[in-house]
Amino acid sequence: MISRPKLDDYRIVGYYTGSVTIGVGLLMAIPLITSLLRSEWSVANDFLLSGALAIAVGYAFRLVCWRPRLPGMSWMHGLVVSAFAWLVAMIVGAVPYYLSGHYASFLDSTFDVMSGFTTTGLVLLQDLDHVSDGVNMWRHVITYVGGQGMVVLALTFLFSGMTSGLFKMYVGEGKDERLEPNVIHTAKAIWQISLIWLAAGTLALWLAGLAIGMQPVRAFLHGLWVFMAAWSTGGFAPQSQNILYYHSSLYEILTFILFVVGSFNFALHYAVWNGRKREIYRNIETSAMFVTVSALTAVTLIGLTRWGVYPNIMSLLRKGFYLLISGHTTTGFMTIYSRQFALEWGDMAILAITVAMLFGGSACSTAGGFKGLRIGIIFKALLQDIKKMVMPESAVVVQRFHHGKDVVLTDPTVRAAMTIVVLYVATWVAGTLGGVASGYDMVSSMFEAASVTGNVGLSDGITAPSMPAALKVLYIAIMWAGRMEFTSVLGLGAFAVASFRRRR
Amino acid sequence: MNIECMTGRVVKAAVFGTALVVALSAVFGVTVLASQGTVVVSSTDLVEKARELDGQTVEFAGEVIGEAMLRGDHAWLNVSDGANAIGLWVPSSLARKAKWFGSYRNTGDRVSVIGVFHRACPEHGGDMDIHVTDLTLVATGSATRHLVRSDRVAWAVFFAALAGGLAFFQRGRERQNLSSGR
Repeated sequence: MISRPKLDDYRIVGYYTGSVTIGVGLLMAIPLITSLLRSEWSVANDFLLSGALAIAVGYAFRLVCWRPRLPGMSWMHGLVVSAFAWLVAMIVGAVPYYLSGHYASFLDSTFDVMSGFTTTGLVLLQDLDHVSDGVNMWRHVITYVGGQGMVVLALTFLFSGMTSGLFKMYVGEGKDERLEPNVIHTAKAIWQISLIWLAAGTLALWLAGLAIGMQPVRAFLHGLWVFMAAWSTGGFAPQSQNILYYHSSLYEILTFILFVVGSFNFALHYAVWNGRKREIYRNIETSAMFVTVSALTAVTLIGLTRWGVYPNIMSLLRKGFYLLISGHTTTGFMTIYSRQFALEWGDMAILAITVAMLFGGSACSTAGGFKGLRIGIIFKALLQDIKKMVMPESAVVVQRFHHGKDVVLTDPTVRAAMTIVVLYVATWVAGTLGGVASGYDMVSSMFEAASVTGNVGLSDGITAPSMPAALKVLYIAIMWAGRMEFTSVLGLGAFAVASFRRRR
Repeated sequence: MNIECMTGRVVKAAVFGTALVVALSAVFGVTVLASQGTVVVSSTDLVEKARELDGQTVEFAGEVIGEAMLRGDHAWLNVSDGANAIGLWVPSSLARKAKWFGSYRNTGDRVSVIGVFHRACPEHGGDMDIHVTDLTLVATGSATRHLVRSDRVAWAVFFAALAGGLAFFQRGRERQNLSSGR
């Protein structure tokens, strides 16, 4: 049980939340410039208004909470700041969405912001095909920044002069691997990797866009946005048909490569970057993902074939395989209409894709879900237990796994992995119950809840502006908790409860 | 066997045969007519009743969005009826009829098309699409005007001034503390 927070604890939380909020406001300069370049004057004004509001709110937090020689940040502060800053960012980030007139309510706007920041990709926006370039830029910047981590961004660009306690905020955002000994350098390395891929991926998609008959400017903007959504395993797209809009196998192949690479651990990128290419197949995460992808691909393709959903192998691959991997990497790019899952796919393929969405991508990546690392660890623990059963009692069974380096499997490691997986499953059950209680059928509710919990974005039609407000709020909470891997949300909860406890 | 009996059998056979032919013609005739007939559909019909409508000639209307993506002698047009956008595989000559495409800047041309609907097109990687044989321009699109609202400009100026003021004051405080701490 944590003790009742003191005034300085609130000051620390408020001060750093303010800094992250300022960061969100400054980010709005990107869609603002886009709007100006595209002569979207009213949209530019909306971004000026929203950005200024966010910066004012951020500085107001800092003004109220600052005092000379503020104490250092504890683990609890790091977790609370991460969770709370995401909530404040959701609210200020929703202002330009709401002003765009494409949302039925402010709640719907906040839903889409949380969906973007958590790289989920579910959408309540209406009439996407008539959305301005400025708003589209904001949607994709949100998902790109959310994938790398908002705090990671702030660490890189706003707090570069400070180091004390920042690793705690970084961990609180669901990342816990140090690519470099210094957390600022780690954050910078993550951004360096992402920006190099941004340049290469955008160029590839731009050329592909030109090849499939798009106009140069649209091809560039679509290339940039689709890259951001693919790399961040976000799943947003600038048209309502998502990736189906392009009717192109070339575009599908490129996005496939980008979201698979985006779902890899940043530590793996960094290892390969530094010449350790063997890490790709030695790492427990890539091995675990290879096994789960193979098994679930088989189940999906058998299911789709049995139900006669697609007429030939090419269709099976372009729909079945693409969507399975889109789900497994928690991207959520769609090449079919949402309702086709429920109406055509059959229970077997739906089950496979639901499981894939829960499994998710790699730890310390842009992806969500249980993560390959935890699945690998739990499998290794199971293997260790089986070995213990069949070997003599006196035998000492040591299980190792490779993740950057050879690691001996210990009980605390297994317990930590199991705890997160159990929390994911419990959250998924809560989401499913929410869907069923709102009147949706069980299979659809399970599918949608898996998509929300794993921050995926595939939908079988439940997520729509017409769904009940309570379910929207539940999904927002689940997306947020799933992205933060529960720890910081639980930390914020404990902080809030302790705040109301009477001082003894 | 007498002649009368034989004639009776012939007559019966003839009647039965004729009835069979008429019945078969009726069945096949209706099917042929049905398959030749055009079903007027919405995008919701296409998605919700895809198996039922698969392979049928349909008539679909909506706004052309995005752009025409030319692929050789055909082009892809995406047409939205408000609920969903559907991909149309259109001969380039017909696709050129569309001049305005729906976006933030424009309301696209409204077109009505007739073509064969595919739930999962074998030619196009399983896409749900319509292979268009006829395209009619129903209404021409136009540029959309987006006015800058003066009240929002005023709020933008207010918040920009507030943000600037707060930033100036707070950064000054922090900087002053930093220099006095040294």
